[in-house]
Amino acid sequence: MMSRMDLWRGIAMLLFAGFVTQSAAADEPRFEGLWSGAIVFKAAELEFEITVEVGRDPQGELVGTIDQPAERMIFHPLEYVRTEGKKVTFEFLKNSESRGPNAPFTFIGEISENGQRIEGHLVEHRGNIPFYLERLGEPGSERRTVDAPQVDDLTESSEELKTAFNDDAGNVRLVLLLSPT
Amino acid sequence: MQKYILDEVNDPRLKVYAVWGPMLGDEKAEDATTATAFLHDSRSTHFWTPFHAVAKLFQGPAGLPEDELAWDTFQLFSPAAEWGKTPPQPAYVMHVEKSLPKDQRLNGNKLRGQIEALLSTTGSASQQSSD
Repeated sequence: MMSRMDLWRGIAMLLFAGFVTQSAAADEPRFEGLWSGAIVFKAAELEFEITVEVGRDPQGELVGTIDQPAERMIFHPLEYVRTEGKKVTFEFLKNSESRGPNAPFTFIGEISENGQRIEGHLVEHRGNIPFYLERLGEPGSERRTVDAPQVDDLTESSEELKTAFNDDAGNVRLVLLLSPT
Repeated sequence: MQKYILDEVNDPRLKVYAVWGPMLGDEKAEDATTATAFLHDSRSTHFWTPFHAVAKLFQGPAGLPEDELAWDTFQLFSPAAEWGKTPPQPAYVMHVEKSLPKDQRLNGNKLRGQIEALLSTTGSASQQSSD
């Protein structure tokens, strides 16, 4: 059965595919593309990865999706995508504990001269938060994927971790104790 | 962690063990599978545990008080460290919102510096003794 993510992915690819050639002729730095970056709450301390994909629909309107894996958002539709010269604005709606249902999250940024980077801010009621995006390719480009690593069960004795740790003696070892959510 | 540590420190003598557990209380094994996407590297080993025992084991070595489990800590160990009856003393600890020094709050650049410093004083892995 097709998931909501598959559906969005499919729609996005259909929309983007026909407009790559048309928009490539524009002189201004183009927002259309596949972009990857982060919302930087505090550099090197609290950053949330984002992937943004923007293309044009058959009417020529900008459309797009955003991924924010930490929030379990994949191919989440952008509701508002605009450009004005180098300035870009895009927005998505999401239920928010502090801001209520369907709260808008608005990004305002500027595309670099060479069209490879966008820097700007996410508009937040407690202050703007910087974000950046780097161009990965055209809309519809193959995305970077990783094979999910194996996850081993750790019993209450933690013996499996102890064995791995001691087997790797002689190396610098980093133990992370984390919540997966 | 991926961006600041594993993507930047290209040294096979670094080993990472990510233990995903019930820090908040309602996490599940499938959440751990999803979370591995944030830490994908051949030097990483991933575990899922439904127990708090491991966070209790690393509590003392991290310098945490009795009532504070070691979830959300990042503990770095020298090549000579050996886990006997209890985990060894880490060479360096970083944390998120723990009752540990503020200058040890998680910072990718700072943690990378500590890792590189340990690696720089370490010979090749084959020269290390695990005795």
